[in-house]
Amino acid sequence: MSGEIDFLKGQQVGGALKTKFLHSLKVGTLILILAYCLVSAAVFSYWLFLSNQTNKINNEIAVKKTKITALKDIESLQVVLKQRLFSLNKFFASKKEAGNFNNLLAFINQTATGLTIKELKITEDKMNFTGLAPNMMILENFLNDLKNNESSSLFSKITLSSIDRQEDSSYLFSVLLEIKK
Amino acid sequence: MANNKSFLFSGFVLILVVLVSLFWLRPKVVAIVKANRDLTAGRKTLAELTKKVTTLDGLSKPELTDKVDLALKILPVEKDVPTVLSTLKKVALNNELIVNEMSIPEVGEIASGSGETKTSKNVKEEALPSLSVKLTLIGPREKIISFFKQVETTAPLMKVSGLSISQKNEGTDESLIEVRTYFLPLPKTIGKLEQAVVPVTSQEEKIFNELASFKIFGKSVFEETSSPSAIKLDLFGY
Repeated sequence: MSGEIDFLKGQQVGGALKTKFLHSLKVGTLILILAYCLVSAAVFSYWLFLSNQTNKINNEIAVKKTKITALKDIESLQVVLKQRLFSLNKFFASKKEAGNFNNLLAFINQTATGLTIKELKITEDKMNFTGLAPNMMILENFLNDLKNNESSSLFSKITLSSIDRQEDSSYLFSVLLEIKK
Repeated sequence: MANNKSFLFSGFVLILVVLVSLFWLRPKVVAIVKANRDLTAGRKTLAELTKKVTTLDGLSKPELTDKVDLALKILPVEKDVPTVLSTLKKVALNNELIVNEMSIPEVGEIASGSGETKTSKNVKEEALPSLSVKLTLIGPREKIISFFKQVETTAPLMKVSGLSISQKNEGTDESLIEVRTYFLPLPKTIGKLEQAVVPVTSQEEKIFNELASFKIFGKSVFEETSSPSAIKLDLFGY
């Protein structure tokens, strides 16, 4: 009836747990090494790939740069042409805006029929016109012409500065025209 | 003893992982980030350079040379006083006008450094640096008017900036004209190698077509400096 008491059972259970823990630690360590090696290999491979790609791109860039250097004569010509045309474009645009003397002269030549132009002075913003009209009718026609549509597009202000009747019944007059900007 | 070995092994592995991470993996990750950035920038640069090479390959050198030659005749690099004076005289003679007087109020520096635009202080701010020439012409009015028209379509680029016409005697007028002639120094540098080639716009093409109709008179002693071959020897090195 007497039973045996196993006093070592607790120690055996503790030993089994410790063995299990050590086994898990070993396996865990091995898995960690494996995973770490895999990650390291992946990082290293990606770095290698990127380095190769960068080298390849750098080589291609060097080739292109050599090509561009070989074409620098053409580029110089293009830069000079572009610089000139850009400036000329701006110049012609500002010239068109300012209106040009040819238009003013053509207009005066057209409207001053029958008149004798004594003096014509044109600066960038105004025009001074001194003329001799054989009679009042011609002078009136000229002044009316100045007020018409074309003159208003060319001039911003028209002032009859002076008018003198001469001994031979002709009229010496002076008109100041402010050029539209 | 075996237990201690296991602990030591795990501890050694852990320390190794930490050390390798610190001294090998971390620098590699930093290098990857940098390489990735460089690669993106490199690809962008390569695309720009490829585009530039394609653009430059598409340009014809003889055609460009002719265009630049014409552009430089119309808009010289420097104040070309002899050409300006001889051109004005030739245009006047073409119109059967007598040139009574010709003067340049302020010549200033004949050549300014490449890329530097120097304008006279009393001149209003303009798109281009200029030189003013005054001349007195005698002849019929129609011829004087024809002179104005021709002078603005003759190389080098000129603009009548002031004029006065007075009747000298029956059928003959005397005209005092102020002509402004323009020049433009060459660009200082061609720019960075990676910089894209700026194409000529359609509006600028139109301007060039207008230039093609400009009349060009004889040669000047300064012409050598304004030919495209001179540009080749200029400052355009990378």
